[in-house]
Amino acid sequence: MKSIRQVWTWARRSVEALGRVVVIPIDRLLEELDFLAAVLMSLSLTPRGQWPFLFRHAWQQIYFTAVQRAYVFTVVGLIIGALTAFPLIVFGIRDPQLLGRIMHIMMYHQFNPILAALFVAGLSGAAITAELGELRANQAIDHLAAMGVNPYGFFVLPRLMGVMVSLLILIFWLDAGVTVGAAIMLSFYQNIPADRFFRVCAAGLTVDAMALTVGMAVMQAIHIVLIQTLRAFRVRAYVDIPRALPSAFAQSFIGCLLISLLFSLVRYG
Amino acid sequence: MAEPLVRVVGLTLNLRPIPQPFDFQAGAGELWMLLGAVASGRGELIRVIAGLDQPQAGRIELFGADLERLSRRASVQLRSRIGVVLEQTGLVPAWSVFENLALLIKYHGLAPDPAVEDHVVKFVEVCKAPIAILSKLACDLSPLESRWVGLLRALIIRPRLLLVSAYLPQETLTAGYDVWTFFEDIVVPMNMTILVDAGPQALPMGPDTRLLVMDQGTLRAAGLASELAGHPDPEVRRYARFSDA
Repeated sequence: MKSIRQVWTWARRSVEALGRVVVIPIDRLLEELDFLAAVLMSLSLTPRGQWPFLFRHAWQQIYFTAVQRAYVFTVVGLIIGALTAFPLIVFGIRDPQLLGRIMHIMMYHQFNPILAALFVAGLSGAAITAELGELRANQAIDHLAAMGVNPYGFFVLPRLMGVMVSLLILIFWLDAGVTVGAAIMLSFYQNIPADRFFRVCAAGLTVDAMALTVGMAVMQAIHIVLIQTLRAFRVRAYVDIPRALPSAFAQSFIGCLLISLLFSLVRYG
Repeated sequence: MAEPLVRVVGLTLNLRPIPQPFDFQAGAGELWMLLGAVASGRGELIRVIAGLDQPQAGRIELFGADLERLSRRASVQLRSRIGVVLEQTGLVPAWSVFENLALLIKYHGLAPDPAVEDHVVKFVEVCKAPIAILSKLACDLSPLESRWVGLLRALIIRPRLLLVSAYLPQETLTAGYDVWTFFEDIVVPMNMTILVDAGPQALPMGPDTRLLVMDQGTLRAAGLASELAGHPDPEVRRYARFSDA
């Protein structure tokens, strides 16, 4: 009798655990969508006098995320381009059309957006969580909200706009660096002229494919900013900030991977 | 009695155990000091009026408008006339003091853009604070300076209602200029309603000081200190001790 009860308890707990596994991601997604709705609604509440603020802060975010990181992305792009070329050299692939296709499928539409999202989530996303977390802990957000400043419109919206534009710039920058890096290696080891390689790579960029990549990058940017700001807005005291940073990064990056997977299924599935 | 600027009706604060509902109203230009033991609900009442926390039940009216019935846009406009000072300083640490003070003026369009700097400088001069503080970063301020800049930020918008839920230091940024003289010189002429949850030591209490004594999340007594000095409840009488000087 006792063992039946134990089995029953175990089974019940297993079902509960399974339910939690299913419900928690849905719950988080709904929470994120709820937050997005609040941010978008704040657009309509933004007084005319606040638009210059919005654009100034969005520009600051672009400067911090894209302009200041341009050098890093150039170096990373060149190195990754060279690393991408090595397996192609080892496999002896010499057909420029095939090389161009590999660059498109592997790099431009999958790996580079993921890498850019990883950088943005790690550098700018963490900075957003730390900055807004501090403003929550020292009650700056509470003060301003109580005095009529919409925290979603003032703190989240400019960052959202800035990160969206920045991610697109960084993906483009990374694509350029990777292409140049790969072209240098292929021209050196395979004697494929760089200009021919560039032409093949550029020819494959269709409007549809680019539109899908842009859509994916926009969704990734929205996801990164929403997760990072949502975590920052949950901060109650300074001690919560170091706890929020790694979990916000992990959650935003996993979300970016899922978005990439979803878009790849749409593209190739 | 002056027209009520703040009116709470049947308010039940979100505390445990669930407190008794209470009514309260404050008129234009009145200064109310919130008194009571730790966790008596003083800070909670300030946060509820500031719109930062939700009560369990009850109605709050500010400037004659019921907060629950206001549209979001109207609520933002209404809150632009409220100054708030909470426990923490609430300044943006990476910004200069000037940027912190100018933020609300620019945001609510209280002065045309070219006049904002003049507006801020004049206000700081009127408040007898050193002008040099404007160029300092908020993160470089001393605790006393941060506290005062937080108060100046709440006052610079010339609010009709000032909510203070923080310890106000006795000294100002100018030697020999104490907090009470500052209130007499700067704050009282602005004719705003003030609710201060700062403990009896923050501002000097006289017979005409309005007191709001709270206990276990509800209102125990409200009125002039001179009236409450003869209150039948000894706990209320204890808080209503004032000096005639």
